[in-house]
Amino acid sequence: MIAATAETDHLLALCKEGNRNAQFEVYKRYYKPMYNIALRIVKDGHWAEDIMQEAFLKAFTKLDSFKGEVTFGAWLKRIVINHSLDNYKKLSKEPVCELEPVLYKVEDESDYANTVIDFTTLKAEQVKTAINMLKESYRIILTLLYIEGYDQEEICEILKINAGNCRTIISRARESLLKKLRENG
Amino acid sequence: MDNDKKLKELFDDLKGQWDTEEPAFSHENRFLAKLEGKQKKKKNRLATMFAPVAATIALMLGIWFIYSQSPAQDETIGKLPPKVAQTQEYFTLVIEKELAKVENEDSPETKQLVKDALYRMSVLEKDYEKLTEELLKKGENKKIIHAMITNLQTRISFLEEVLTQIENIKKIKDNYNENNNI
Repeated sequence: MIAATAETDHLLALCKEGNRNAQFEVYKRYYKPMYNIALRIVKDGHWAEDIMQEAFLKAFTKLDSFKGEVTFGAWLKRIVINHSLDNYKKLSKEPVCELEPVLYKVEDESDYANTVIDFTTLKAEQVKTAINMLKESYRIILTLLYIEGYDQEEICEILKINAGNCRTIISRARESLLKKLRENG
Repeated sequence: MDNDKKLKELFDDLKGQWDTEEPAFSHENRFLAKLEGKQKKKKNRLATMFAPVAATIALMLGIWFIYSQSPAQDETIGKLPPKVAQTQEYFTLVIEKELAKVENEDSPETKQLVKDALYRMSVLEKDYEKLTEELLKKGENKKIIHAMITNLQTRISFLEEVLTQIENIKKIKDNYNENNNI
């Protein structure tokens, strides 16, 4: 991995100089995870491709601000996520992160408690479907939390919401997802 | 917190299984086009528009090339990387066609414009020759090849632009005549 980072550093230095071959090489190395990240947010292949490619161009123009505190992949990922969310928020009718008042009913949960979900048999595809059935705000926050692997603090920053709201949305989102998984599983 | 634990376990198991999708075919080419800048996009569209026509002609020309070719030009093309030679053939044809159109439009009103256009074309052509020399000297170099292709594309879109301007001049003339008739 150390050799790989040294090579990446060299490649990035060339990118900074505007070397197109180096930029294309970086693209070839990272496009796939970045495309999938964008796709998970915007849910449309063409759109995701555009966003992903624009994010690369953006990254190349602001390579100077990449100080190497995180890996280049993580830095790029953050750009892709921000760009995806910016684009998605503009066009999505449903708010991406909103805390709406919820009327809590005391439900008899015993039924659910009895249906034990066998998580070991769940496939990524099934989980993806279940997540996509959730409200936008839940879908996005859970994607950031569990698939992209950000912690709550980072999510607050990405979605520009305060810690309290973030915690509440996450816990409601978790509940919804488990419910969906039970229904389908 | 229990929910969190359950889901965390679930997602931990699924780690590394998420990035399965691939962007649509030839996304790399689209990215390269974006790298070249937005202006190019337009030119590329023009090139793709001409591509089928050019391809047919290039094929016929290719056969013709084998039978009768001035040795001087053949030498340069022979040494160029095959891809460049091919592209060059495509573009040269389109450029020749457009240039003939521009030359046909030579009338008193457009004389100045055509003269200027031909002059600029010769400048671009000289640039291209210089690039070809450099490429032959330095060997295959993506930067030079890019510059060469840009040069060819610029020439085509320049000729297109000249033609639209000529059209505009003609229209103005027609309008003037019509108005005077009334």
